Amino acid sequence: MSENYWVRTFGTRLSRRRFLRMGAVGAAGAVSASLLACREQPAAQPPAEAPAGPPKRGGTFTLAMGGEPRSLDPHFDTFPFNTAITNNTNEGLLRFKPDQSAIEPELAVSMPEIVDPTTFVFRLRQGVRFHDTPEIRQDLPTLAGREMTAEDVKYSIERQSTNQPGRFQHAYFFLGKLARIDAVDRYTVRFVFNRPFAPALSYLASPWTLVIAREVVEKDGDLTKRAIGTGPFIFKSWTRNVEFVLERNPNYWQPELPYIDRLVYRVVVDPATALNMFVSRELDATGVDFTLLAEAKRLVPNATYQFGPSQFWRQFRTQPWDDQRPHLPPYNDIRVREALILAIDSKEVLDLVHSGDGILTTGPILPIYKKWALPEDPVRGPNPTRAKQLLEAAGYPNGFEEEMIFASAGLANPQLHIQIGEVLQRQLARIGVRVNLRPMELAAYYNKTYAYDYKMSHHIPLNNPDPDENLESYFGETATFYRWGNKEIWRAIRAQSEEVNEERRIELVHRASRMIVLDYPMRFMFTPNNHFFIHPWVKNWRFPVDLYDGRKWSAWIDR
Amino acid sequence: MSGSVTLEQAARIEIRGRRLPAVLEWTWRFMRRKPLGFIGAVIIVLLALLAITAPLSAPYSPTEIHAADRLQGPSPRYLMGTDNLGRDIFSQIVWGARISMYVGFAAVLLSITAATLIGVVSGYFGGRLDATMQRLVDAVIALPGIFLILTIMAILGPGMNNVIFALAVGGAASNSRVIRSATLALKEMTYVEAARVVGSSHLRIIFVHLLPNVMPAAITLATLGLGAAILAEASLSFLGLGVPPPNPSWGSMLSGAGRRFMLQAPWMAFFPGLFLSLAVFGFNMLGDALRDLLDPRLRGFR
Amino acid sequence: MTGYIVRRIGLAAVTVLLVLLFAFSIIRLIPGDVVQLMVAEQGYAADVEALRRQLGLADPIHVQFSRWMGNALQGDFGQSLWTKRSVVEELKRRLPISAELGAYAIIFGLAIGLPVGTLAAIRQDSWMDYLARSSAIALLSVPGFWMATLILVFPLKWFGWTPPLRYYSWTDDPWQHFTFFLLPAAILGYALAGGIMRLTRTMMLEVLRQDYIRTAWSKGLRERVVVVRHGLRNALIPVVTLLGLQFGFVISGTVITESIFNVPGVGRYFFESILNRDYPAIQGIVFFTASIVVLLNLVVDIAYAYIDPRIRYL
Repeated sequence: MSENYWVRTFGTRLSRRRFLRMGAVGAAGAVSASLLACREQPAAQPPAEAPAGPPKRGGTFTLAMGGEPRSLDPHFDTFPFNTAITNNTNEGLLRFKPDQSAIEPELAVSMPEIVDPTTFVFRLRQGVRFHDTPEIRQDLPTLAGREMTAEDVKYSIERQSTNQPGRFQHAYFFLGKLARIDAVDRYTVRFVFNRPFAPALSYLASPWTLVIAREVVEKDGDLTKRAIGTGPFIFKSWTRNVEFVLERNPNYWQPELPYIDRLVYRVVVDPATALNMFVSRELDATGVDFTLLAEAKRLVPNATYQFGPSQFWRQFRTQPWDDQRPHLPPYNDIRVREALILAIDSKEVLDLVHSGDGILTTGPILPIYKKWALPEDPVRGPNPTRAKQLLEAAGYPNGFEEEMIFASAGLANPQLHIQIGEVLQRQLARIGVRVNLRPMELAAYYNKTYAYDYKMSHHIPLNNPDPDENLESYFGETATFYRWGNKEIWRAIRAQSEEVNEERRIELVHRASRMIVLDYPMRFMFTPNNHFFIHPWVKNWRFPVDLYDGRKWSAWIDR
Repeated sequence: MSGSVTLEQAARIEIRGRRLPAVLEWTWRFMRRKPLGFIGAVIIVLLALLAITAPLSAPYSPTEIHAADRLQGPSPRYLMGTDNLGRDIFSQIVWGARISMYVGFAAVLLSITAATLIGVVSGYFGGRLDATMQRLVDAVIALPGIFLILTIMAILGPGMNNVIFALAVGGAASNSRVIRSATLALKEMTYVEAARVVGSSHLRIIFVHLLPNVMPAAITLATLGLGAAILAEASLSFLGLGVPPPNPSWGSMLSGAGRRFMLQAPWMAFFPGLFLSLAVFGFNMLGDALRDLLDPRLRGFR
Repeated sequence: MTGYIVRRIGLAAVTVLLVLLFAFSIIRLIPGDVVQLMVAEQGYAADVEALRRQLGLADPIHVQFSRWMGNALQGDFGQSLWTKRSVVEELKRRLPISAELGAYAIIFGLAIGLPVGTLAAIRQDSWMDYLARSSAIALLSVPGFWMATLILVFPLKWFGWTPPLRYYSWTDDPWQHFTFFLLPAAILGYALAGGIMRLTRTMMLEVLRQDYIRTAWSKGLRERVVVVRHGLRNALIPVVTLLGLQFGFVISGTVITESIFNVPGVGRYFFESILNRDYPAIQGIVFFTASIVVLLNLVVDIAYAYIDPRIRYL
């Protein structure tokens, strides 16, 4: 099935040389694109390419941003637009390596000394200074160029962990688990947890756990307008709806870094427009929708192509519940839930809506996190026959009616979500469950999900490198994104968070994941692939697996 | 035909010495006088027929998924190809005609009814009532159009009826202005004065004398408004606020999956776009012709 | 005359007040308020109320309104609930861009609509008339976003060409600044062209029947002089009125075109503000847009009254 209708119809009939050439290239592109569209499991690593050569100084690196951050506060925000900026202006104690394979120190000199399972001691780098520009010197004289110390680390972590109204979205990292932080001396920080806490290092390396400047908070009250830190880039300007500009920090504690002089993010809301800008070289790197893949490859044949599964995936959810919100029939009957889950054919949804461009998931943790994901899907589905039997046994031989809500207006591709709803609707109809689709505007949708006021929905959550984030925040005791009142599951999740030995922890994570999947709260469906193109002059940088991590320190431009 | 012919005879159209039925005669006259409007009318009638005969003319159900045949170009089996879910585009167009036309007609009906009510009442009674109502109308007109539509959609949520309501509100205000000035002009007419002198009640004057004479203006506004309503629904679909599933509408076909697969499967966008544009074109042409014929007063849009 | 002007200004002020009242109350009816959004996906139940209080949304609505009005009269339209930047600052940046886009769109519309309408009028019922009219209407029948997508997608595919998609300010690069607006203005403009064409044609038809036109003909003046100098000028008045109404639309109703072409204008800002329930921003935008529309109508009304004394008594 060649995707390129135009090539098939016009490729050989037109006499102009250009069109013929187009046709040939297009056909080649169509062939490779159709290979992709077949059910191939893509590798997460990009194909091998020519060696990069020695780093070159200078240049501007321009990328697109599909929206704008609500603020420049890494402690209060959840969109990657925020970290695209703050991961370059600010730094954390630890960070993930560019290929996300391991954690490495950033502001800390080395990985922490583990005094005992609940106590970590970090030694900080010395001579790390906050940004120093004439504006900062004028506005915040005590901050400009001053050295970062253990007090700053303590302040930042404590701020992130504070449960202030609607602000600190990542408090759940450490709140209730961190007993205290001590600034032992100027360059030593000690973390004391109130129990062994396995995700501690992952949370410290998270793109959201950054050291910020207390003077800005004290002066502005918050971090919505300024991003001042110790990072390789200095925040220069934010022209709303147009672009962000960051400039090289000449006093960065790694003197040869960063290589590039300027980092620019252009706000490009429409995904189709981004490809145009990439081809015209207005952008150095961009994501591309798979429907435009063949075109992109044809138009920029020497661009590096990178693809891999996204961390934004798709769930089909049934009614959330806990002690305060009772589990209502028919959803409180596990047979009904199992029937619903068995009726859903994730592969069909992926094939129809995304042309098969993605991978299926096995549980609450995505297969891209190979260590933690379940190796196989515990659900033996799809199985509509068995689903119908279960429904009959539960007392619903003729099925039932239900409403499925989901967000559409306000998201980038509203029709995409509607189509997913339509395929799910059809699949559930096969077992007699008649679903009314109710697409909602984003804000109204959040209204409902936040109040856990729905029976069925399909949703795009995201996955994070640490399994605790994915398990606890949806199915655990302190879960907020979703609520599942099964206390055995709560205990299983807590157990994995307390197991410091990695091998044992993997077992516990698998155990908790299986318990969750087989309690049938959701169908964990699939994640679509991301496709990225990078112009060949961008060296030593690829889009990270965790799309939140915005760090660009490793990149250089070589035109 | 030979011999002397009276004026009357000449005015009638004769074929082989027999008069055509009045309807055809009228149609012929209309075609001669306003060819563009006639073309518009033909387009509309054809589309309406398509919509009405949907259960018969659509080979498949518009929501039926043929997974194996997805993303196919036009073929004998699928006259306009299939979309990425494997649904027949032709069937979607035909059923979508129903939705788009229904939404358009309903929105305009609502809008014109409201506009006529407001315009006639305001224009006829005049005085304080008129002044107050006109301030409100001005306020609604001054509100940015998208604001009204988006706000209403956000309050009411998605749904076909909500879309109809949202589309009707904005038009009602500006149309009421036109109806009002028509009413003002009519008010001065002698027969209305005569009716007042004779002692007819206000209601009678409004219903018997004013409304029928305002009708032509209303019909013209309605026809022109239909084109705008269909376009507006397409824009709403683009923003994700259009007619929700399972109803296919041309607007949602064009702005959603059609747009996304524009390069891979251009027929997904081409056909809904074509039909949508045809419908809007037809309504506009017809509306223009109607305006020329029915109400010269409408020319000076004040 | 002065009395008329004063009355008109008074009425305009009342209208604007009503608009604000509408805007203020309506948006608070929308389910899913800004606080919910802010704590979306990671809220703690207790926080919602506290945050609402902090943002000043817990007071009764008339208190909120009077507070807002009071500030507005001093030129302070509050801070965006999301970005904490002053609404006036945001609008100061975007209104000129939208106004410029709107102006170019109107120029496009006029450039197409006026000649085509005039031509259709003077060659009424000829094939030229039909062709002109059907082309104009055909243009406006195509949804703008489709036209925009076609322009972006197919030239890229066939020729590797892409229109300018980056906003440069007037001071940075005047040529790039100008060319950036051309395509989105054309797309907005061709829809306007249809309406302008229509109106021009009908007005010209009426005007051309007037006695003074006949006089001009009998004086032996050339067609162009008769049509343009004597006919068009008088026919333009309702066209100007129409433009006044359209201007409001092109300032705030253009979210789709702005999104596709990366224009940082009011239309997008407005749409995003509604989605984010950013009440101060929405109120500010509605205020300014409505004021512009009312002001334009006011100017047109007064101009009309000046030209045609009969109208002063309406």
